[in-house]
Amino acid sequence: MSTFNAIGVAGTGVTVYRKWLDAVSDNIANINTTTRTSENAFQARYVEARAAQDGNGAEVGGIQLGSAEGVLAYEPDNPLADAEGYVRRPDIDLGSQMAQMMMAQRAYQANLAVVDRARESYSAAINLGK
Amino acid sequence: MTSPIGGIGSIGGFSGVEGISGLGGFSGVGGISDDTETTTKGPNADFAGMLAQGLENVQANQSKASDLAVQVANGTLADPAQYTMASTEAALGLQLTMAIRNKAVEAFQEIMRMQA
Repeated sequence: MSTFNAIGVAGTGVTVYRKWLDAVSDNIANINTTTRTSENAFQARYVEARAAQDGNGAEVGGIQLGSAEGVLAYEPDNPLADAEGYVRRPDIDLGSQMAQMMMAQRAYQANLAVVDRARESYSAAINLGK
Repeated sequence: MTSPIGGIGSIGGFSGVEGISGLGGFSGVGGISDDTETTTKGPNADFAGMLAQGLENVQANQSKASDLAVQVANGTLADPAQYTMASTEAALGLQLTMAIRNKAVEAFQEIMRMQA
């Protein structure tokens, strides 16, 4: 509990949503990462948000990984293809990632809006009676 | 709270402004109440403690903000929002300190202007 707690609490939310944005950017960056069928596919990153353990705001509880199996794609021209012509692609849906990106972006902005309003309010309290 | 300026104590909802509720310690100075315990304890002890603690908080915020500023300059800061929020907090803390200082100086001058 600090002096200007609302700013700190909204700050934890900003951190959580920044990490979500990071995870989405990682997923989208690797959306075309193909691997050999003998290896694991790129596993999508999913941020696990939870209430902070000290009761002030939110925090990232951990990162969950998507399917390591991915999806098999028939690409005989691909240098990584196995004898049957298959490669492994990550099981990531671009549409879902874009929707998650929008949610993370808006929530990030909402938390920053809270910081801004809190600053205004504290400022008004400090200037009280001037 | 029975102090004449007890109304200010209701601002306690803001955790930061709580220090002002410590002014309640002045209630014994009025001499109106028979509460002698307050005067023997020293009316300002509580307020001074809160002021010192508040100043320590401000100092901690300032050094956190300047640490993050160094990280910005280094290019090692992962999240720029962390720095802007820390510097906002530090600036607010300093403003609060100045507001309290100005009030204290005002009160002092008010007493100095008093006719004997």
